[in-house]
Amino acid sequence: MKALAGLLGLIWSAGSLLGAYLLARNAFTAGTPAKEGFYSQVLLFSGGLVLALFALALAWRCVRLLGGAPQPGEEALPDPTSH
Amino acid sequence: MKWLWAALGVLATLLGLAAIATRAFAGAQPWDGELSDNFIFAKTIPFTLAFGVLVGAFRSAARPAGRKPDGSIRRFSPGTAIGHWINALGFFLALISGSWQYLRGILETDAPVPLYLFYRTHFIGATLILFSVGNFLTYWAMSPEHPLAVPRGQWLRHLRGLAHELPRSLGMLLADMVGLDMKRTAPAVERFTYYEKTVSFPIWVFLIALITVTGLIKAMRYVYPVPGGVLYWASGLHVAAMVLIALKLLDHMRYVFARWPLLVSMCTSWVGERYVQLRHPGWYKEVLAGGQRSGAAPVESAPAAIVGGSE
Repeated sequence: MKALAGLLGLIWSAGSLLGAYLLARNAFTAGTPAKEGFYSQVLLFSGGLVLALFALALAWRCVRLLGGAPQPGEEALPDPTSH
Repeated sequence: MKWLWAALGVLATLLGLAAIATRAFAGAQPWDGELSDNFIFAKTIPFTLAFGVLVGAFRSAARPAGRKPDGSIRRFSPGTAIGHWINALGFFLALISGSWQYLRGILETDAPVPLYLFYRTHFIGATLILFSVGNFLTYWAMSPEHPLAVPRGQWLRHLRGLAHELPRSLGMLLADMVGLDMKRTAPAVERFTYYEKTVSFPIWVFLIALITVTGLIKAMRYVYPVPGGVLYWASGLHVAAMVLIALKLLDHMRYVFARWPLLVSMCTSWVGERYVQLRHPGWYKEVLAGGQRSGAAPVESAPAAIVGGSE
């Protein structure tokens, strides 16, 4: 189940990275922001940048989930069958 | 008596939807597929919200058992868990279709599928979100306890808990900004982590309110003349809310993936007793004080600092 969740998370993360790339790239090249002005371009670029950072953070977490690494909430949990 | 009200509510919803469908599919309307969807969506909004209110009112009356024989503790009511996933599906549909509606304007290109299908998907997603809003607000208003909210006069304590959960540098920055005494023992984590209570939940509330209100204004233009200036700002804020929700969703997934038992509890509504003992000791104490059974041996309580809050 963790592997499935990790995989779905990675797909979502990849989609978000694509969205981030389109936002950031079109801050400089598309006609619309040029027509709407400098602030629109700044918003597009910064939105893309932050989106990419958050997507990478999720991707890293998903890779750890797929790799079976203990999660912060689990690593100190004692074996429930030990007592 | 309550079942009579429920039956009347469901009947009113069905009759409303039937009336809307009869008009829409009579073949007498001059609108194209896209505009027709717009009208249908706008007209169903009151029924969707009212049905959400009905479900929320009924959920608030339910009192599901709090413990299982194996010691598992209920973190959410089953209705809350189902409502969460209905809302999640709504966001999934609305976010993907809304993103394309926005990006196609920037990219100046069209998808191989007709545009009205994106709008239709968006309206289905928005309907699920509106139902969830009505459901949640009513449940919240009628429920005697609100464990996700910071109680009055408890903000400093909660911010101290948050500062301990955050990575050290961020926690110290927050402590300096607010003037927190980090030498004091971190407060014990309750049912929800301090990050969930002070950061996640308020942000979700704000963003869902923003996207709902701006979306309602946009939809209202089909049934009421909305001034152009209002519509311009509503559209801009709707897009801004969409981007912020995309960010929050990424953060939300990152956070719960790192706390697998909490994600499981959102699917099953239960969380294991030992996880609660170790990671939510304040809540565990409450559960025990409630006189509920504990089958496991007591373990050392974890303060907020080792819960691995928001990383």
